[in-house]
Amino acid sequence: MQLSRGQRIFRVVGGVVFALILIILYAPFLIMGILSFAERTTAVFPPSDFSFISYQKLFNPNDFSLYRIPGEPLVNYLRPISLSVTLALLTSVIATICAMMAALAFRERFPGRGAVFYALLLGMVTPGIILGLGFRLFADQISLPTGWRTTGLLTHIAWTMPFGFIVFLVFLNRFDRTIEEAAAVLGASAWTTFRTVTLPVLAPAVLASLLFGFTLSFDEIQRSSLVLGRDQTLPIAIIGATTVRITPVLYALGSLIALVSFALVAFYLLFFERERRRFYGTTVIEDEEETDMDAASGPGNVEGTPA
Amino acid sequence: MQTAVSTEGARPISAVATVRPEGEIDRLIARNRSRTAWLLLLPALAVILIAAVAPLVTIVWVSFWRLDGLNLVRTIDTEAWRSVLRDPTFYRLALSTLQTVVIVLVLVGVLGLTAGYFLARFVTNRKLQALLLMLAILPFWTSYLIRIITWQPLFGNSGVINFILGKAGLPQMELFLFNQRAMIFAMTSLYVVFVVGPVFWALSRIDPEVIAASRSLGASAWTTFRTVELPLARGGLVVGLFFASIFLFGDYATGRLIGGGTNPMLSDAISQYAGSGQWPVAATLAVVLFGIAILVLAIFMRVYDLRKEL
Repeated sequence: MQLSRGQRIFRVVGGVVFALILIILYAPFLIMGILSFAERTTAVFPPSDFSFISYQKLFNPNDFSLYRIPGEPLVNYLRPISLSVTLALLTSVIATICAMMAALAFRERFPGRGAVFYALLLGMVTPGIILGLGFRLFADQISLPTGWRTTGLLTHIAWTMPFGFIVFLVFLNRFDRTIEEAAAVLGASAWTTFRTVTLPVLAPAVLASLLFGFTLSFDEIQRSSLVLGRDQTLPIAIIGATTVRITPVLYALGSLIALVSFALVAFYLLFFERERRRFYGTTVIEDEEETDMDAASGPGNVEGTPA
Repeated sequence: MQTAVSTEGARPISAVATVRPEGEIDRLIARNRSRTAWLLLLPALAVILIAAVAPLVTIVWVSFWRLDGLNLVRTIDTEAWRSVLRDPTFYRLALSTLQTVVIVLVLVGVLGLTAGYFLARFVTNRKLQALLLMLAILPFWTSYLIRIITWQPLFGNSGVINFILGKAGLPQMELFLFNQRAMIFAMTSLYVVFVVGPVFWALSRIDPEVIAASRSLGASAWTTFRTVELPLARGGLVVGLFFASIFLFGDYATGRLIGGGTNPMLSDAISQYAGSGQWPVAATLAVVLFGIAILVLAIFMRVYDLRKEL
């Protein structure tokens, strides 16, 4: 199709905007990587001295001989990291189970369905600081001690579960229930049907929900600051350290976290792509109709593979 | 008519079935299904009840309490509300919060729509398209706190931008840190990822023949965009803005780390009042913020019913 002058102009503008967005999204990671090798200060670019000392500090938090910058905060990030990972894992698993059960319930019509739908989203749509404050005050009233095992975990589940719930709803609305009925007719119990038919089809949704749960919980600060009591998750430790002074150790930490999360998401996307091919064929969904028509007009093309 | 079955004690199924009036079986199944549904909902509802509904009720309740020294007194007192409503800084705070949110949402919407449209319509190579889309949404999965702490070395007076400007022989930029402009810029960069993806998906779902039809009937590219593509992609745009504002309203860290507290958001004020133990005032501000947030989200739902996207 011939592009008009306006479209050509927009193509340039759009390309520039897209490029700028990518730059502003990725420049911080690049800068962070460079600064993590700075020895002393991060406020001046480029850093004048390069060393691995920040990474050493990160992994040997008790080796005080490494700390030579005056006024440098001594922060042990290892314990917050392990707490954050534990909390994020627990949150993602529990939230995913709750979310899947709730989404399965939404396949039925029951009285109060609309109200329950909005209620379930409450943990997501309420601004984080409000829930943190509210749960803290509520816990005081019922004498529930605040800490990551109690208020922290519940807060994180209430925050991440709605995301998983939405993911499952999207999947279940495109789910063909006749295959479940077929399994039931062939004598499978409800549990067997779920385990061998429903769950495998929902596998990508389960993974998406776990990923949402893990990353959102791992990064959560808005509601955590007031409900964790004396426990320190990684974001709390980071924000605590920034109020003192931003040192290269923080960037070493950030670089490692970024690397791990990119690897995690890349792995997920590969898995998702594989599952999609397994259940939905190799064609992109939009192309399916065309392929069907091709298949109808002539034999062959069983796999539905586009050229 | 009398049927001559069930003489010998063994009752055939047909007899059991005919005893029940028409429709009762259906009603039984419906009741059974409804009970299963509620059982499945139980864990999720329990969590929401304890960690969302109860806290919200508590907020409203505590906003009417009084602070006696350091102790909270359970009464019905409008002290906190009166002090907040009488304070002119409160109105400035609420206004600047709303202003910041609206500006960021407009920026995020315009930039996200532009980028999403570019990706869907002008990047024709499928592989490149998928790669660019992945790059645009990937940072969502990384810690946003980690991203905002690089702001200082990026935009500080002796930071990267000024280093590059200096190398290029250009005049150095004034401090792009610790002011509202920097905060809005940072928030836009953090939340634009929410819009690009959904807009792209919404646009790529539009049947190319619909657009071809519009063009062949004489509509210009701009008219086609305005009257065909934009209305059809509205869902994606609203989904993106909806999620962006969910994060935006509670985000106090960006304002503190990049805004430098110069232009505090309501969320930051709440966290500071709570930090100093002024629970009733914090609760009052929280009630106000909740009202504003729900109002904005309701407007989004009004523009486009997001349940249609499920």
